[in-house]
Amino acid sequence: MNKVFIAWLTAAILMLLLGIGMLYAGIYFFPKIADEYFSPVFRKAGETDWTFYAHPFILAFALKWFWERYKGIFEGGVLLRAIEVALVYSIVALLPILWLTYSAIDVSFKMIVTWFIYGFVQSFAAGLVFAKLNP
Amino acid sequence: MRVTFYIIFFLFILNASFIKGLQNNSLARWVVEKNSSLNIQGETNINSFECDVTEYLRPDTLVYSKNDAIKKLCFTNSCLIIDIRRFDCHNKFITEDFRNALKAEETPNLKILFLTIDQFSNSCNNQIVKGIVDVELAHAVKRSEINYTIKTLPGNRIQMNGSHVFYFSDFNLKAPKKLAGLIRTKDQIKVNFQLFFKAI
Repeated sequence: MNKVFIAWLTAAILMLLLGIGMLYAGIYFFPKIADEYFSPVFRKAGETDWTFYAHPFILAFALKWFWERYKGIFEGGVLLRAIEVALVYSIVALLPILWLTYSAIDVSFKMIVTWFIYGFVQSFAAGLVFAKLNP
Repeated sequence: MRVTFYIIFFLFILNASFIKGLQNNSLARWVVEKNSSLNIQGETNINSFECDVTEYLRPDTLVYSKNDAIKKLCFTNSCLIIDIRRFDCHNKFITEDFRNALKAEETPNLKILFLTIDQFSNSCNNQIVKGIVDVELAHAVKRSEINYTIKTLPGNRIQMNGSHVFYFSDFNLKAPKKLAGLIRTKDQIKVNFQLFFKAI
């Protein structure tokens, strides 16, 4: 149980740091896309700020549950298992929800692509932590 | 009878000196010309941005009295009113966000109330003078000292350029922030203006 908790917490903190890092990298390398965050479809910073910082903990919880249940079917080394977790999450969860987001909300396709990459990298990092700490 | 005469004489003298005083502080007017413009420069942690209003469509007039002795203009109820909803930041996301940050829907007008201009002369060529204005935005008023560059143009026209740094917080406004503050606009904005007046 302790191992599971440590793996969840480590993955969550790593995903949070990666998320912030990728956002700043996006600002630096793709400022025109990042300008879109000023669009009114994005909530103003304020009372709900904590929900943004909590998202890696929610995602780590979901991925940990998935890992505990299906880790037996992921075979190979740490890297390969992490890539498989990232692929499953990206194709099963991210792709449909981002498709729906693009269809319903006024955000550009480029922005959607950055979110897909962002989610893929985050889930890959979680996969690495789980495969290493809780194989 | 003699007392009445003295009273009338005294009032006459008083009135004459009052009229003389008025001649020292002559009243005049400037009409704001249509080609006057206002530009705001700001920065976010992504990019810098510029918002412009390139036309002044209101027929406003500045009324002032000039004290010739100290070359000082004192304005009376002289105000420029700028519609915030006409600000164009050349980026649809920033334009909309900037207007929202200035509470354009609640208080659509930015008011610049001219109070005084010092050391004003009728024939200047890029002369720098100091003036005091009250800027009203979102029900908050900020008094500021502004340096103007004044140039007289042919046809009784005057060009007045200037700039001043303001902060969103001066007007109890919040600089836009998104994504839990990771995307943010800096509090400081620089307002540049180029005003053209016709003296009448």
